[in-house]
Amino acid sequence: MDNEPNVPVLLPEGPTNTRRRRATKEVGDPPRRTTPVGHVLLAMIIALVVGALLNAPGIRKTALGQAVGLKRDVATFFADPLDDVSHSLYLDRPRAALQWAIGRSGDDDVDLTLPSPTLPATAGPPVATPPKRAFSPASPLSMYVTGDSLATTPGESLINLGLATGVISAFGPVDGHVGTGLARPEVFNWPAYLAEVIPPLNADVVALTIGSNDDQTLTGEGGVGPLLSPEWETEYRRRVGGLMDSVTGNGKTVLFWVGIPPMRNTERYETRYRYLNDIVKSEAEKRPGKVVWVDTEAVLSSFGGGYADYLENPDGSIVQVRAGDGIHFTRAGGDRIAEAVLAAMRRTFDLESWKTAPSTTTTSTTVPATSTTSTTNTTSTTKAKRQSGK
Amino acid sequence: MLFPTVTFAIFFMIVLPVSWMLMPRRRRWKLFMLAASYFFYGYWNWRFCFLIAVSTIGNQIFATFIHRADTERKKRLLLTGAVVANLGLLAYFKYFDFFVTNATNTLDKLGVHISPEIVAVTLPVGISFFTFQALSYVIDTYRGTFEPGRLIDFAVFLSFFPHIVAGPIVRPAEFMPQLKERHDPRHVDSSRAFFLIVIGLFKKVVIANLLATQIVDAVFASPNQHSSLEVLVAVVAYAVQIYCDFGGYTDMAIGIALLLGFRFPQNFDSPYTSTSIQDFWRRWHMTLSRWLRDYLYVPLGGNRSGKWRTYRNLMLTMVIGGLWHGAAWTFVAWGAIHGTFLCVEHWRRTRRQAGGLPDPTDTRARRVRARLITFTIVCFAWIFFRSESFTIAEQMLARLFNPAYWLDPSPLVTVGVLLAIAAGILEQYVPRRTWGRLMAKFSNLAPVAQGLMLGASLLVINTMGPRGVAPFIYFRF
Repeated sequence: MDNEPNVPVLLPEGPTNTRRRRATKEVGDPPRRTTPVGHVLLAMIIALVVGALLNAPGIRKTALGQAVGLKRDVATFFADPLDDVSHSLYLDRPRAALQWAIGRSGDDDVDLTLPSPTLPATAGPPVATPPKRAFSPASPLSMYVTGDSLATTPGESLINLGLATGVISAFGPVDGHVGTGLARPEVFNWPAYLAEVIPPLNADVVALTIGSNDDQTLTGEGGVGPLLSPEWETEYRRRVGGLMDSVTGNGKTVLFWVGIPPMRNTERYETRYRYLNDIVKSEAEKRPGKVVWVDTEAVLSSFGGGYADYLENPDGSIVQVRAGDGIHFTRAGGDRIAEAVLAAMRRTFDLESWKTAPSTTTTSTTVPATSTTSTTNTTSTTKAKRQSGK
Repeated sequence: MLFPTVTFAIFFMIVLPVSWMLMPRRRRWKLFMLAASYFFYGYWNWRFCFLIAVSTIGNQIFATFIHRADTERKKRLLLTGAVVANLGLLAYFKYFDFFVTNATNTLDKLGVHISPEIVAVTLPVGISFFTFQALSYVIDTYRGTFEPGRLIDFAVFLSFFPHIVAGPIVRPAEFMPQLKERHDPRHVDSSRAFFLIVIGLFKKVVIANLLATQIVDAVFASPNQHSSLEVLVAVVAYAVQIYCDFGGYTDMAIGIALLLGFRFPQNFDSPYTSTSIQDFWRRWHMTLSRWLRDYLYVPLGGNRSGKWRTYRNLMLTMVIGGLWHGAAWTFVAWGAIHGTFLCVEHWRRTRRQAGGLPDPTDTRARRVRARLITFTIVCFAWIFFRSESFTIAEQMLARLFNPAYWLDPSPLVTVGVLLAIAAGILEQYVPRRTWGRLMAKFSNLAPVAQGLMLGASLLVINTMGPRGVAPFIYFRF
């Protein structure tokens, strides 16, 4: 211990747990055989080959999920025959059995089908604006938040801010799936997933953020490239529209599609993500009352417009809104997007009239779209937080 | 490049045999290892390779001049320059945003409004680790406990890929002499290395990732959405997650270095079996705690200048240790909590000694109680460490202790989560000799049998782990 006698903290040289150390000293580690490097390499090669054969279905799925190009071609070149060999030797069975045992059967399945829109191609007669659905703490608006990595931080903020209103409840935490989108159903098939998840929830609102991984060649059913070509746009529109109609098909759920905000890589944002945003926005506009487009560009732009790492709060203080990668968000950035989504929800639903309504109201009702807000009722809000907190 | 990926497996299958082939030709081996390490590090962002190169050359110059300086004054001046340069680099990348934001907002409250054009700085992976290692090099040279080596040796030491991104924090005196040793390719301690790699993989890929995705991330993001039980389990789960994540990484790092013929110091020693906070710091991130002890606590005066100075030094060391983890006040709070309890323990010990009282008898009941109390304190501190703000920490605590939420449903507390927590804690209670026996038995197997067993363990790890590999927690530190 150098020149320090009786240092009270941080790793003195002596034993830490008297009983255990004594035991170790008494027994000691049994001698181990050392190995020549050649044997080490042999063991490692066997381990990797056996491990690859036993995990072949998972490796194939991972290979398919690589970015379209040489890397994916090489990966699938090896993964496909590996999977075939594994299957014919029944070596994929232990993995399937283990997946079944832990309740994750189907982890390695690849579903490439993507639904088409069910909306008529031609616009019908103009529809009168439907009245706003009203919600109250006793009958809160139920919300399901999902999406890719851009959904995580704003989604968490949305859940927190939503719960604080007392009139919004959330189904579990943010259901985030990193590195996914509509371009690559073999990586993650969003329409199939949401078609399975949403019906049992019967949510009033689905808040969704996807698209930031979609600036690439489309694979799966109807797959086409390159990005920005007319064929690409047609197919992407089909996928976006199909997903929108699938989510809102029950006639109850309203989809809030949160757009992609500016990124530090301005050129990429201007040429790709704004283009994707425009496609989604125009598809949302075809579905009034069912799909609401939430524009995040203004929310996270600097005063002069464009990307900003830091923004000013109304009180003049500055706050970092974007993560170091120039793509994702800090909590403050997430809060700003969440506030924009909440504002859109307030425009779509009546989340305020319960504050002035008689306290006996227990079910959601429909009120005229012009209903006004009122002053805050602290007692009701506190009660509502508890009720919708879970 | 992350250890638990196919990319790393391919990288290592090339590096391992080439490294052993070149080992007899030292210079070629060093150049090869330097290139491999820079490739490994540059795989994230090649621009930061320049940062390591600058750090290497700069610190080598400082160390050489310190070694050659003929007066104490010159040595001290050069050391100050080296410390300022290293900490300046660290401060720019790690704390610049934090300082500018806090300074601007403080000035704003005082009525001075400025709008600096600031751009978020990208944090280079592992900068805290290699900066601390570089500091060890120049400080040890200044103290005369280590003689600076050649530039190539120092470059290999600083960038050696098994430890560059998340430690363990290796001292130059531990590593650089190994560069001169003769490494015998007929005697590789592969059984220990394989055990460490497989156990590290399991801890990281299965336990840490499962706990993060199944409960920890969700609860710490929105505590108000969860029951008291979910919050309680999430706090314990985080304690296990961070141990398995960081401990798993260092297990792998030590195992990989062993296969290359190098020994790293131990970094974790069953930390959740600790019977006091002092004991905890002898077992948790051991290479950081001894770094803080030798380069901060002892130079501050240690416990040599009276009890109040000792308390001050303890608090300073722990608070700075907290800040080392990141630029946030929550890390400062985490360090302060540990510092406070270390002071309390020190106070109790000195009071007992002053009263001439004997040490308490070491009974099983006393040990169990001490472990439970220590684990509770550690978990309490983890709440601040994991929470992204004091608001979240406050919500966690409020939710935990408010009886209104005690009986709420807890869907996130699943059998899988509880089993993962149990596995992460019980692993620390497995006697060392049991691991030793298992390793000895494994070492007696033929290479083919070893390969088959390792392949089967890859099946379990790959199948049970969540899809994708989350980044290691300590990479951002």
